[in-house]
Amino acid sequence: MNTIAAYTKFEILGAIRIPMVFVALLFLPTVGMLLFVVPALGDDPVAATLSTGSMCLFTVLIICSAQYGLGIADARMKPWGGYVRTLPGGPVPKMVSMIAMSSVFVVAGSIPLIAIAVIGTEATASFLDVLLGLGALVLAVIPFSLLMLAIGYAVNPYLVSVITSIAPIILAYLGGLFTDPNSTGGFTSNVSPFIPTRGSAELVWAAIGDYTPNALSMVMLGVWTVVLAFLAYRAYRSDEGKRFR
Amino acid sequence: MTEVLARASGVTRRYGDVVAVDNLSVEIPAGQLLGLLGPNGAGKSTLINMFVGLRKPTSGTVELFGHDPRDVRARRRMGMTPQETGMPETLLAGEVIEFVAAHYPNPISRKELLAQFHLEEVERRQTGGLSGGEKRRLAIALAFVGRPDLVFLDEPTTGLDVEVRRALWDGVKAYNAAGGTAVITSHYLEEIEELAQRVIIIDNGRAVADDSVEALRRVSGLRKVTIRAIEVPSLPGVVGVEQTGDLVSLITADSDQLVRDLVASGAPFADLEVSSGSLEDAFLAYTAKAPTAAPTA
Repeated sequence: MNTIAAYTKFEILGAIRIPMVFVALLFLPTVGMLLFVVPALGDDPVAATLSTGSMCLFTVLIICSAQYGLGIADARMKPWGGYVRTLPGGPVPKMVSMIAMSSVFVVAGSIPLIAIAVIGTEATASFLDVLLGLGALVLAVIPFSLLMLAIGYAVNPYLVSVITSIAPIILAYLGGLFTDPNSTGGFTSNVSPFIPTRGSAELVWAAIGDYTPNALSMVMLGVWTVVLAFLAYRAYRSDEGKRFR
Repeated sequence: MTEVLARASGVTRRYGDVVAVDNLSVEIPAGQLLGLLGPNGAGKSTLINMFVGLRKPTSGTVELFGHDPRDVRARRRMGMTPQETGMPETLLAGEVIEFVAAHYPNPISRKELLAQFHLEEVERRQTGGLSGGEKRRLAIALAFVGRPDLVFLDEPTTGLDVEVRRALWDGVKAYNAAGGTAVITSHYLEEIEELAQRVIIIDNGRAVADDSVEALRRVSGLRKVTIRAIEVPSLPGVVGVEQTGDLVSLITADSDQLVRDLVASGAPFADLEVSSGSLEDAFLAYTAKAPTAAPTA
């Protein structure tokens, strides 16, 4: 417990010493709220509520990219990561602290977006719905952290920063986070059920508003989670050999 | 019989086609200060990394406190220095110490550790802003946080000035006097000569010598014949040559015969001196290579 607390403190200290990181993390979702959700859907209570959830999920994608994709790539390049592995801690404290950090980031990152929704739109949700929504957002960390772990371990560390900065936008777009959740037809609604973002988004939407998840999206989310877990595990294992060349 | 804290038995480690460590067997008994010497790329770091569980041997076994080094239980009584370049830059020195201390059941108090390594004034500073010497001291201090029974010090004093180096040597000696065991690699032969009780010379992944410092100094009766000469005379029986300016040192097993040959060769020379070999001479004789020049601090 002592060790887990130390790892969590270590992660938090490492993050808060560079406060611009938070501005960078929240920049795109805030822009999305102000330029898309508020003017285009702000007058429609249902669409505004669900789209606020979409922007929160977009934040989750960006957080996972930074924390797992960039974080792992960074640790692979620095000898400190190797030193920590010689300490008698094992992998559990590191994993628990990273998951705890993700949850803190997700909740903290959602607050400004929810504030914009409350002030600038007709969005409504009960307190319980908001809590459920935050739960769904934390749950969404699973598939995307696995994806980013796979990228972080498998890809050349110098390339990881490029991939992690564009991947959230592409995943959010293909998952239909930049459109009205209830709109049908069009390119993204045909593609998005097959994208892991969609399944996570539909769970968030179902938590905060009147939305029934699509069966295909749910199945695909399960399939993606299994595939990504396998890819992340394989990337992690094969990295052990490569790191020590 | 003294307890053996760590043991490598017939260990080989390959990186692709390169054999970094070649069928090496080493025992590290409790209470010993063991020096590892060898040219760059000889396999010293690979051997240490296998002892601390960072790398797995390709074949053979490595044991640390009776366990696989990758087992958490094995590493509780072990300390190691991180490379100072890799510290988390935004964290304060004190926070890094606290983080490492959280891994051990009975860590040394932070005050005591800071005092021991003269780090009191950097406790509240970010590691990214420390000088090279301060980072090095912090890195070494981290090896001792968990009150280890065995520490691995890889190039502990590279880049430190003489005074700080002396202070660290005293620290290592005090740790050893209190029963601690240490494995030290160094570019400074002087450091190994000063600290180590036993020296293993590693070359091309093999242990080419394993003995006490005294025994290695006397190694096969090596002598150093030093002369002033413009040119290095080519003579039989020379196992190593050192040259600084016109000062030439010839290392040989038979100094009497070498002097006879030298005189007979008719080569001009002055200031003939014969001395018993140092650890450096033994090193040269065993590896047939000069140790890599280290930056003078």
